[in-house]
Amino acid sequence: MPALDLSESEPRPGCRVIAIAGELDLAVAGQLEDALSRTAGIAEVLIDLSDCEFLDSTGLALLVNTRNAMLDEGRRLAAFAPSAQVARLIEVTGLAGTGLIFATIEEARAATG
Amino acid sequence: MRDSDHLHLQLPAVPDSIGRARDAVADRARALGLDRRAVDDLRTIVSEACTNVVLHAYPDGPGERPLEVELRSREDALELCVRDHGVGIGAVPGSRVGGLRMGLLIVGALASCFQLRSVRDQGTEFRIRFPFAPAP
Repeated sequence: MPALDLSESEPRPGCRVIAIAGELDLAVAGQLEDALSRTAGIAEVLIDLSDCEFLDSTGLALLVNTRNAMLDEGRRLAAFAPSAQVARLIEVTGLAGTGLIFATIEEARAATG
Repeated sequence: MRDSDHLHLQLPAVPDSIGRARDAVADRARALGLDRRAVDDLRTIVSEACTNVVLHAYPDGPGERPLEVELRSREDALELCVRDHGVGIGAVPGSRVGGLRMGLLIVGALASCFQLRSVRDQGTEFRIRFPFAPAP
């Protein structure tokens, strides 16, 4: 099983940051799904990808589907600081520029806040 | 081709095998001299192909669920093969084709070319080529 560490913080009320460290694939995607399910009622969720060494369509679909569900509830989700591998995945899936992933936390906050 | 350039993994088609296959292919690709971007692309492709096998090849649940991953160095390319002996694409109407869509999009964008062969109740084989000139 790939190593995956998730850490959660709340830098301000109504905002939760989930930091992903390691590799996110089918074997461990449930951990992120659980963390995202614990954000019910939180208006702004930011996903820190700076230590995410690998992401595939399983993790990407989880982020996209969660973001869409949150938008329906009037909440926001954005990810930031993708590695080169993640940035390339975003590029080839056509998700660049769709408001899901940003280069910096400041840009993500500006989009979700 | 040297024997050491040929990687052949036989794994159970379970989620933990996806990372094992990804790591083994990445290690061999680095040893062959691929740069980081190419190694990342291969990791992504292996992960997508193996995830598809784990999720869709064996819908009847536990039992023997073989997943084979091969990497060969050819004269001008690396050839990656991900093979299962499951039900084949389309055996369960609508299930696997839909699940394949995102993975195929990604594999198609990252590989120079790929072939997908599937025979009902005999299995499916992804064969993917990467342009590459190994060091002499």
